[in-house]
Amino acid sequence: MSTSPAPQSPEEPVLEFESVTKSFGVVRALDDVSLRVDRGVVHAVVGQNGAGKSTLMRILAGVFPPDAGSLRLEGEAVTPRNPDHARRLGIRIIHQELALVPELTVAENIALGVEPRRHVLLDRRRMKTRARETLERLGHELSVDRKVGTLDIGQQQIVEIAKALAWQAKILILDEPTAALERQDVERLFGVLRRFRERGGTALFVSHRLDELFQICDVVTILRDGRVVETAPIAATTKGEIIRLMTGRPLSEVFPARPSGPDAGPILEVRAVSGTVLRGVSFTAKAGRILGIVGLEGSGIREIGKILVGDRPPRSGSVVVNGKPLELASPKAALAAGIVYLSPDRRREGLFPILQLGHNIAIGTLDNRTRLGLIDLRAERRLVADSIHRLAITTPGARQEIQYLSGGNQQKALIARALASRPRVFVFEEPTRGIDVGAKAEIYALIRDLANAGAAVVILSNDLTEIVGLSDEIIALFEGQGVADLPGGTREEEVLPHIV
Amino acid sequence: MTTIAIEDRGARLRAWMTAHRELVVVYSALVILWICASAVSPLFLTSFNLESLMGASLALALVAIGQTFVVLTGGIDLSVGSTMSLVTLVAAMHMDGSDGRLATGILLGLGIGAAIGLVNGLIIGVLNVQPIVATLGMLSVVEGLALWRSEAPDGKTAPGLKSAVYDTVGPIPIAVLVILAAFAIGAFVLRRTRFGLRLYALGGSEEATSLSGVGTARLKVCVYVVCGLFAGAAGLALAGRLGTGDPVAGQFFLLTSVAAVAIGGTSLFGGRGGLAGTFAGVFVLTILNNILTLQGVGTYPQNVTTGLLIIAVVVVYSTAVRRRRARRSENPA
Repeated sequence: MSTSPAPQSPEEPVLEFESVTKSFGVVRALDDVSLRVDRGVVHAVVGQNGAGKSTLMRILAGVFPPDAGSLRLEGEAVTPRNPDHARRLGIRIIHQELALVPELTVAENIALGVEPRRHVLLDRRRMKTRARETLERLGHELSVDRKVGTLDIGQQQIVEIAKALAWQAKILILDEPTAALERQDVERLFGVLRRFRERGGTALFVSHRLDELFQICDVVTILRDGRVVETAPIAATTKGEIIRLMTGRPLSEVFPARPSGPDAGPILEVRAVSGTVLRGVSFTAKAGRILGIVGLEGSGIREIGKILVGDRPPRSGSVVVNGKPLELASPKAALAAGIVYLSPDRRREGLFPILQLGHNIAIGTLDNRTRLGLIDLRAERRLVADSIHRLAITTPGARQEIQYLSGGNQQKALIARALASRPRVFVFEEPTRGIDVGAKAEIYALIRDLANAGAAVVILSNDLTEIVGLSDEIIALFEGQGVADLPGGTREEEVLPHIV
Repeated sequence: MTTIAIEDRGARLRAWMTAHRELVVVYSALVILWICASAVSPLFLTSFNLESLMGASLALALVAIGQTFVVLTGGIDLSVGSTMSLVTLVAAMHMDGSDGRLATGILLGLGIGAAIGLVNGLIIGVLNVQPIVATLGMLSVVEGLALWRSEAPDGKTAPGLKSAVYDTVGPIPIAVLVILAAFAIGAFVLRRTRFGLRLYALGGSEEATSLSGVGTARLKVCVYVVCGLFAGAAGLALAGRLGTGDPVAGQFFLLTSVAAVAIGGTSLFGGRGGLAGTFAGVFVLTILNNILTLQGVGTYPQNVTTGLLIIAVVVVYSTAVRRRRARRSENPA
């Protein structure tokens, strides 16, 4: 596929980028990018962080103009001047953080900004019928009187798309639309997208979840270092090939090598633990080893995380660390026992978004560096500088607000915070959710380093590729029960039947 | 068939009551307070007392409507009390006891309110200053202006203004009609105009509102002008009751206007609530003060009671919100 030209279409493309270049200071974010997007397709744009995909989307959404090059919309040269202009041109971006008002109803949200009126009054009846019709067009049934805040994220996303349609959007930009969705919601979203495509709608689809591209996209464009590496029909490529083009290296090198010597004995033993979902689950995490627990949403992997972090005590069974049974009654007790937990929802359960990177790292172990009730700033600076160096966190400095760092660097900061408390057991839940492939490789290497340094690592994930690539031992979880205990290196297709 | 329909209606009623817990609480409180008041004091249900009660409610009702609009957007207007003071003073001095200057006096009062609201709105909407800071500054500016003009009560309101507050049409006090009309119009605006919908949207999520192509700056300017207008009208009502202008008479209304909104269940974070709650909130506060006065309780103990009531009600509401959230996260579908 390496030299095949972009798919030819007799029709004129709905959108074209021609030699678009954009620099920020000395960084060239986009370098001579040309791309054509045909009408009625879902077009994937993939690349690592920094590859330029978000810059490209932002130019299209009118956030900033290109330095050079031009855009053509339905054959007409036009550059969106600002987000509002882009919207009026029929380009609608759907963000990861949804732009809906939770306290308003579905109908009100869809209408907001283009409310139908009769004379000076709001025409609530037309507002509702219009919303109902739009949702129907997307093949989705939903009460338009429900408040958006009572919907799950998947439904909210569909409301966003309906809203875009109410704006007569021609091009939807979906930025990581599935990052926060559960499996059945992803299916539903794809159903809606297919409807949108059938009706001649065009979507640009940005995702780190490469498996999904093969379910929903027609064409994929791969960016690396601000350049288009390849544009190809999705049917003509493979996941491995995409990863190779994105990273410049094959998939096998994404995961670190497994250790060869014997393990250093059990640290964490979970014995016959039951809870609301879990039924008699047992496993042992050994020093120097990575234990992967894999299961789908609802299988109980979330509950294992909650029990180990002390957030939800088990109904029965016991948790033993270094031979001592534990009362895991609170997160504090879990920490005292040397167990740290890294949440998949970094923004809500991990980070202090508006605090500096340095404070985010140091905040977990303030007590250790306090003298006479005051924080020892010199010790703090040392810790932060060491962490940034050791974990290779890419940042303009320790004072950078952490919300502006990439997902991979945020995760590294959380690992640094965890490391500072010298834990014996690391529990990672979905450690690379929302992190791109290149940064994933770095996180995997870090996790392996933690194990090699003598910690026991437990990975809870529904990403089979990740579990299989990283773990030394795999537990498959199904409907609250451990159904298989498999050695590291087991192939994906051998694990899969156990979890579905 | 019928039983199913009834059960269905029962379930719908229960659902409505859960969703509008604040309204259920505040209206129950109002009814209980009314019953207690009539039981405790034989004077409470006399027509004289009820009329003076309505006269006393009028100013609070008006200023609380404006405050509700602002609070729904997630803002707050701390300058309403001093606006009312300034309006009483300027209007009374202008009217000088003459009905011939009643109309111009009213226009002057409303104009001052709107102008102060406009400045608030521009500072908040265009210069992006937080409402609490902007209006706190404005509180001091306006209070200073009023006291600068006159440190003591001054001027004399037109007799017509006093009649408007205390007279009756048949058996019904004019004040009651004004209150009902003001709430009805306010509620209609919130429910049936684009402006109203966008106020809720702004309070629910400013970012989402702006991403929907709504000009949030203009919206903010408008809502503070509306609030200023209502504060101006409240100032006129207050002047009518006092018969004169007083540079500090409005102070009390800063706390009570916010209290009426909060007791009425409108979220101080914005986006949730409305005038139905504020209506009850206004009367909970006035009846409470009325009954305490009838019982001979002094002003300062009354302040203590009012303060405790506000805290108690807001605690009840915040636990309700937490429960709603908990239920939502347990049952995401």
